[in-house]
Amino acid sequence: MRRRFGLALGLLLAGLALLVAGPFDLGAVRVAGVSLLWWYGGAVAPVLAALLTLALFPSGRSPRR
Amino acid sequence: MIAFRFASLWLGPVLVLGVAAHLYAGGSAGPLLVLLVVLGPCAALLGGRRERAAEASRVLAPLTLLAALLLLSAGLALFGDIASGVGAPRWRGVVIAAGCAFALTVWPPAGRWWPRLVPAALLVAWLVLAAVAHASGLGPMAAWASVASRSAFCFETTSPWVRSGGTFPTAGVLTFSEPHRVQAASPDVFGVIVSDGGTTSVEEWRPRPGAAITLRPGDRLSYPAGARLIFETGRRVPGAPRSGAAWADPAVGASGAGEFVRFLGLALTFVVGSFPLLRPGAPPTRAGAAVGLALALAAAGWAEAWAVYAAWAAPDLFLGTVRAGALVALPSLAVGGPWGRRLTGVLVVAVLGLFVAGAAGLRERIAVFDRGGGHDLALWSGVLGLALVGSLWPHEPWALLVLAQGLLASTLGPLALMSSAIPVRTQVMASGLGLAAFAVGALGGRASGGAVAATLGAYPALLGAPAAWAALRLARPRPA
Repeated sequence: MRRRFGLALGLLLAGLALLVAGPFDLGAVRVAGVSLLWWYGGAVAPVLAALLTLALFPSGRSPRR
Repeated sequence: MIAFRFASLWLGPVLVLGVAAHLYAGGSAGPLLVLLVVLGPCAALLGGRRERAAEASRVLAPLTLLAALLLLSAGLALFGDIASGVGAPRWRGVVIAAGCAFALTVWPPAGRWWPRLVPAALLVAWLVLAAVAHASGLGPMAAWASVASRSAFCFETTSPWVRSGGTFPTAGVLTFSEPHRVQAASPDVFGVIVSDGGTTSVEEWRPRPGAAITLRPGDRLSYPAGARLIFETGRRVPGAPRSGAAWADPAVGASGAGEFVRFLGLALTFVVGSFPLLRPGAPPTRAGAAVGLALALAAAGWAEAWAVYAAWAAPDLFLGTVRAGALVALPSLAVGGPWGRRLTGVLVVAVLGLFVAGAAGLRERIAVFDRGGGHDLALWSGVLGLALVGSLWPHEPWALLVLAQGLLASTLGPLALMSSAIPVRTQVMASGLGLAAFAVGALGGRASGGAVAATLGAYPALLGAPAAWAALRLARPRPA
C-alpha cells in the first residue's frame, strides 16, 4: 500500500513539474479563464491526493487512543 | 477530536498565510505549496510506522523540542509582522500571541475544547473571505482572470501609499521599472543605488518630510525599517510582476537546475517533514482521516482564494517584499471603511486561533517526553519563553517554518518512515548524520554562489534527509 501511495504521490508531483517546466507551455493554457497550472496544483491534484488517501486508508484499524 | 488535533499541528497560520503569500507573489512555488498542504497529511496518514517505538529514542525529545521552538518562533514572528503592519509596536503582537498561547495551554478546561479552534478559525476565515468576495463583486475565477489580464500592477487612488504614505516594517530595497517621483514622509536615511553603463554608485539621501526624489528605470532605493514614503498614483508598484500575464504564468517554460532543485527541496521538506510531526497523532479511522483532509483542503482553498483577491484588490502589497503578515490587511483595502477594519480584526482573531491551537498541539507532543516527571509545565514554559524572546527581533516567519520542517525531514522523518524497529544507537547515528548534512547544506549553500547552491542553502533537507535515510538503510538490522 505504501509503495502504491508513494508512486501516486510521485506521479502527482511529476504532473505539476511537467506543467511548470514541460514543453508547449501547457501550464499557461487557460481552462474556464484560469491557467492549467492553477487548476492542477490548486484543485485537481490536492483533491485527487485526498481521495486516493481515503481509498487506500486501511479499514478496520483499531483506535490507538 | 483526534482529527482536529492532527490538523492543529499542520495548519498553522505561517503555513496558511505563507502559501497565500507565495501565490500572491506569483512564483511557481505557489501551486506546488497548495498541493503540499494536502500531501503532507496524506503522507502522514498512510506512510510510516504505526507503532510508537521511536519514542523510546533519545534523539526524539531534543529534536522535537528544537522543532517546536522553531515552529512557535515562526508563529510569533508572524504576529510581530502583523502588529508592525497595523502600526503597532512589533513586541506587542509577539507578547499578545504568546500570552494567549500560554493561557490556553495551561488552563485545564481548555484541554477539552481547544481542538475545535481549528475548524472554527477556518470557518471564520472563509466568512471573511466571502465578505471580501462580495465587496469585490467578482467570483474567485473571474478575479483570477481579471488579475491575469492586467497590463501592470499600479498604485490606485485609494491606496494609503499615495495619500498619507505607508510605513515599511522592515528594511529593504525597491527596484523601479519606470520613472517615479517618491516623496519622503519621515526624516530617514535612504540609499539611492544608480546603475549607469555598467558602473553602480550609491548615494545617500537624507530628506526632510515632504522632500521628493525622481528615480529612473533600473534605479534602486534602499530604506530602513520604519521609513515612510509616498508614491505616485497610477505608477507601477516597485517589486510587482511586470504584468498580469507574468503573474499568472511566471514559471511556464522555466527550466534549469536551480528551479528543479527548488521544486525537489520544497516537496522533500514538507512531505518528509510532516511524518514526525503528524504521524504519531494520525486519526486511526477513515472518518477521522476524511475530517483531517477536509480541513487541509479547506485551508489550501482559502489560501488560494485569498491570494487572488489580494492581487486583485491590493497590488500595493507587492511593495518591497511580499510578507505573509501583510496579507491580513486585505479586508481593510478591499472593503474599506470601518467594516474593512472590523473584518481585518476578525481575521486576525481567526489567525490567532490557528496559532494557539497549534501551540496546544505542540504542548501535548512535548508533554510525552516528561514521562510523568511533573516538569511538563516548566518544559513548555521554557520553550514558549525562548520562542517569545527570539521573536522580539524580526525574522522571516516562512524561513523559520522551512527550517523547522527541514530539521524534522533531515532527522526524525527518515526514522518515522522506516517500517522496521531500529536500534537506538542506529537512530542516534542516522539522526546525527542527517543533522550534520542539514547544517552543511544550510551554511555551505548560503556561503557559496550559484543558483543550485543557493537553493541547497534554502532547503538543506535535500542533503539531510537522504543522508539520514542512507545511514538507516545501511545500518538497519538484517533478518538472520
